[in-house]
Amino acid sequence: MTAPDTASGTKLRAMNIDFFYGRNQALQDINLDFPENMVTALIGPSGCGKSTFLRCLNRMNDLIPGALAKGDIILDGQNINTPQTDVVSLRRKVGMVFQKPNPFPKTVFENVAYGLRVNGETKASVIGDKVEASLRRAAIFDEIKDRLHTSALGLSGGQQQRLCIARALAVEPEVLLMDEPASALDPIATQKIEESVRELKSQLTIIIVTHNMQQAARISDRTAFFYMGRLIEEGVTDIMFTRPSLRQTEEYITGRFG
Amino acid sequence: MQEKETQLQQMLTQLRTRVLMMGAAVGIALDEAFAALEENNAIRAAEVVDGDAAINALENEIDELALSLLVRNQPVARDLRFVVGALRMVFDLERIGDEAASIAELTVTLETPLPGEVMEAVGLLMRSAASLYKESMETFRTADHSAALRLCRDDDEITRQEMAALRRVMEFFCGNRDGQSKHFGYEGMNGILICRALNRICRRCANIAEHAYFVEEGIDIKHKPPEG
Repeated sequence: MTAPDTASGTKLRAMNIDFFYGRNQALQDINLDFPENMVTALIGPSGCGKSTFLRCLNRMNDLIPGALAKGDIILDGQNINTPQTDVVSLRRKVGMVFQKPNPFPKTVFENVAYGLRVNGETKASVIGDKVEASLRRAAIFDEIKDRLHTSALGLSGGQQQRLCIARALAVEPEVLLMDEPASALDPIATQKIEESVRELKSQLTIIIVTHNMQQAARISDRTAFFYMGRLIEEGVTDIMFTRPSLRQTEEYITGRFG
Repeated sequence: MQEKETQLQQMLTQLRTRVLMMGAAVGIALDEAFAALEENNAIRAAEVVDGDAAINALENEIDELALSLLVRNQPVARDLRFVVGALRMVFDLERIGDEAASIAELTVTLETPLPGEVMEAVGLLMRSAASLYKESMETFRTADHSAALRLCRDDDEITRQEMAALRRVMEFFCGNRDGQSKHFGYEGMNGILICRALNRICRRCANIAEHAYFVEEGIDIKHKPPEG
């Protein structure tokens, strides 16, 4: 497989992706580019395949028995959808934040330090600096700097989610996948997550699944609309939300179906 | 079985209905103002002036409805374009209503009817304005984007008619090229103001066609030269 031209600014490229849960085909021939340092929102009704597609991008679906992904996923010119790919290293490069905050039952500090230690970092000063830097990047440090050594489970839902973002950032990923990261949060916590995303995109490529059309319009640069396992339309967010090309997209985003 | 309308769809329908109602009210005001001028009927003209308050009230009502729709539903795509287009439309409709009222006010102050030869040229411009108004509202009502584009690109004839009417007013009231004054006075001034008001109505009709085009196509053609 020829590597794509990464000089064009494409960080990640999905090519001809088909995905099967056993005999059920969940994704059909998805082709989508993710430009570097941009936020791309994946939208579509429940069951359309957007979360499945998101998990293809760092091979999280490998963990599902009977699942099969076909096609190429090119990250910085290298196809990662091959048996030779080191998935641990891949997931360090392509981090993920899930719908429900899932901090470890450890202190705030240890939650963020965990990934660093797993990756072989032993120097306490380096770990300390990186934990603080990650918490700052996730826009939560100032709120919890006095509680670094208390249980992460004592934080509010919004704080836990930003802690999970900090945890993902600690290992310095280049791409961050976010699967409905604010769906369980109140408007203030949601706003803080969205602010973090806006700040982070200068350093990362971000791909976010959301059911919230307004959120997609607020935070993404590009939007891709999925329906029944197919990519229907993708483009610049402002255009997608003011004059999408296809009637199907228009009907979905205006709430006429889905 | 028919699907139940969502709150957004209901509010959009309500907004559309109110804009069309305002359009009809402005259309009536224009027709009445023109008829009053042609007949030099001060009573009919005064009714147009009085009726302007109802048009202004409709504008306020539509503004509030559009604001509420935006707050409650955060519309996107065509729905958003429709709300933005409606807000732009009512601004132009209200100003056309004002122009109708101002023609009516000028009619009330006319001591004698405009002379036949002046009225002939003004009448031509007046009928063009009336027809342009109906056509522009029709492009909005029927979502006819090609008719909308044609309307807002075709203003040469209006300019020509306004120039002809102004020339007729100037010649009649201000004298000919020899500088020989004839009957200059309020009538002359009113004639000029009426021509200018009619021209502004035509320009605002073109704006309405631009808004109709924007709602349909999602492309803003305001202040842009014609293509091709």
